[in-house]
Amino acid sequence: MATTRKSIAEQVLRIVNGGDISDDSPISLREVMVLVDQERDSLIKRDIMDRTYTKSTTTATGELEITGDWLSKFNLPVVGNSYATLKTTPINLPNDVGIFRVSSSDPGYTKQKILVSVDTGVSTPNTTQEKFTIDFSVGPKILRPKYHISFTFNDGSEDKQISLHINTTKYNDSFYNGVNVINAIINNSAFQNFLDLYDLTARVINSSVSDDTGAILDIRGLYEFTISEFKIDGGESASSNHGFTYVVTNAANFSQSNVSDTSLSVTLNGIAYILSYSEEDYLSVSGADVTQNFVSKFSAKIAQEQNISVTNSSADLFFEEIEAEGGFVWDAQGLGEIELTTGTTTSADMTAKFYETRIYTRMPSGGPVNALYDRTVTSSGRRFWYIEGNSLYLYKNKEALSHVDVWLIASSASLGDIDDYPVPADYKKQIITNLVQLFRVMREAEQDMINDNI
Amino acid sequence: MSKAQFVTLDEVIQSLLVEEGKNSEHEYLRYFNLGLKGLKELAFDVSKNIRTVQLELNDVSSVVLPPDYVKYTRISVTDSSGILNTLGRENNMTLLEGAKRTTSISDTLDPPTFSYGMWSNYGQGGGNNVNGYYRENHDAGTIEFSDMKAGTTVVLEYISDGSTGLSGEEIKIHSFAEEALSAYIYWKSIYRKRAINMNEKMLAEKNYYNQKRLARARIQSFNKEEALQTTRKAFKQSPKL
Repeated sequence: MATTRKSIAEQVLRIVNGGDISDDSPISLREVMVLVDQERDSLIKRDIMDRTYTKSTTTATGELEITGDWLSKFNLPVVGNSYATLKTTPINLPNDVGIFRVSSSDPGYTKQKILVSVDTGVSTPNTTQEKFTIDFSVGPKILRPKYHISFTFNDGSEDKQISLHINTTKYNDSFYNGVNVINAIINNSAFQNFLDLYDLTARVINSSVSDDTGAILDIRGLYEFTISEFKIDGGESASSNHGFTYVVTNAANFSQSNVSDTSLSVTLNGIAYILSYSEEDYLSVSGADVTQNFVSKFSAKIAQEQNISVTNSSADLFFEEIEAEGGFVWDAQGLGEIELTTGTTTSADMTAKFYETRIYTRMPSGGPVNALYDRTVTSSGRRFWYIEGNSLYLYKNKEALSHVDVWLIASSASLGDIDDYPVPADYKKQIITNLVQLFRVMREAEQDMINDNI
Repeated sequence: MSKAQFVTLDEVIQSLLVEEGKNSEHEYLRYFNLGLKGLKELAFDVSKNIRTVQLELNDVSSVVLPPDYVKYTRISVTDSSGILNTLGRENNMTLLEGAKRTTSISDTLDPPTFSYGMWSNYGQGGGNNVNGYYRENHDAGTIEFSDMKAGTTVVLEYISDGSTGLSGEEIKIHSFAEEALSAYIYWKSIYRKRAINMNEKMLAEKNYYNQKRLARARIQSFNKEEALQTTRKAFKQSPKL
């Protein structure tokens, strides 16, 4: 429930009266509400000034910081493109900080909205991976600290000579050096780079041939490849150069019926946002899943970069301007299995072309032509506001403007009894405590109970 | 123009406000004013904001200075090869309005009446300039020329204050001097405040001069090839005896 002035006042009154509020209570609710206002205003001012100017206290950060929990927002009409009358006087603070932010109101231009429906999702991949194994059965009794491993890798189109210098000093835990040498290969940084480069994975598995003494280096990929001429220190298997015996097998069992590289590509103002399903680390993905995945991955990024909100509802993706700026250029493509239907829900509003929210910066009050700052205002290229009484003036504004949005620390008295009453949670308790204390002092004062008409 | 090479004054101020822990721009205008001053300081000493313009001599052989002009670094004319030929400074040129300036005060252009035939330049003395002469006229905001015809195009290279005639995003500073400008604005923003202790002010001042020194060192840095080119300028061919 939102905090209101009335709710705080009622709480105070209940405490002061020790329970329900009776009709003959010497303190009225209206009286307490006035005190709540005064207490809130004084707390705000004290808090902000303490943070900024008080020295030698732990709460003094020396920063003139206005926290958002005190702020209220008002939408005010602008008279003659020149000034707006504040509905409430802001709290008096240095540098007119009581008025926190001023900007032009949303003029209500139509926002472009497009729809991308994902009709077909992605099916479960059923690829049988290509596999290469090297089964080490026998190894030398003593492992050398370094070996030179070389082999020829064919990625389906051309041969590549791969050469690794492996260091075995950290990988000699096993009694059997065939196992140790596989561990050294698999942890070698150059070998890992090779796997990354060619989208391969590698692991060590138990040897079926020599279960107790050997192991198998298993390399897999989602395309046809072969590895040949595997040599250690220039020697083949069982060479006296190194003492290892191994069997090399290219399984040649790659098969694929489903497309394993599917993506949804949406291009907005020339920048492509691509949701890919390509590493086969997924199961079946429905159209609704695709849209949710796209929102999870890109909605924050697109909102920041493009001023476009991305939302989804089942298999529909919606792209809509956050602030109408005359539309955006878009294209959506489903690559692989994904199939799309696209359409425009709302066309771009050309009136909004080149529009952007005008932000006004504070300047000291100095009348319609500020002799002190006029030249600086011109140099800065910004728009400015200044305050005089309860009027907020837009300095030398000649642009057509119907309304401004103003965020300010409104004085409490200006807020309605049941209006949202901006008070941080911990300050609510402080207001109540202070007022209860005040009433206690009041009640302790002796009363003249005899009405003698004097 | 490279985006990374320059930062706008607006960006410098916003970054400083964030650095100071302020969450509003209520002091923006004051900071902007200080920033313009700082920009000039750095333009004179560090970033040496040199601009080049081509100006045409008017009927009274003068050119009007650009609005952001602070001081010239070179005044020249371009020859047919595109090479700049520097003009000579003439402090004796009259700046009185309407005074007739000789069409030639150069001994080179107009030698003394006596002639030595093929040795006509003999005894003439140095310090002359065949291209013409100039003198700055601060009162009129012009540069006056002599020995040059109206309509002649001169090339003026000058130090700009970096801000006059510009506004908003056009006011920029080299990225190397960004921290120096930020330090200047902060120092000046507390400099006249009685509530700020002297220690803080002195630290801010020291930081500014340190940042200025760093900026100057970065801007004036050169690479190996430039160093070699400079040293090789002294190499000349000469007959071997």
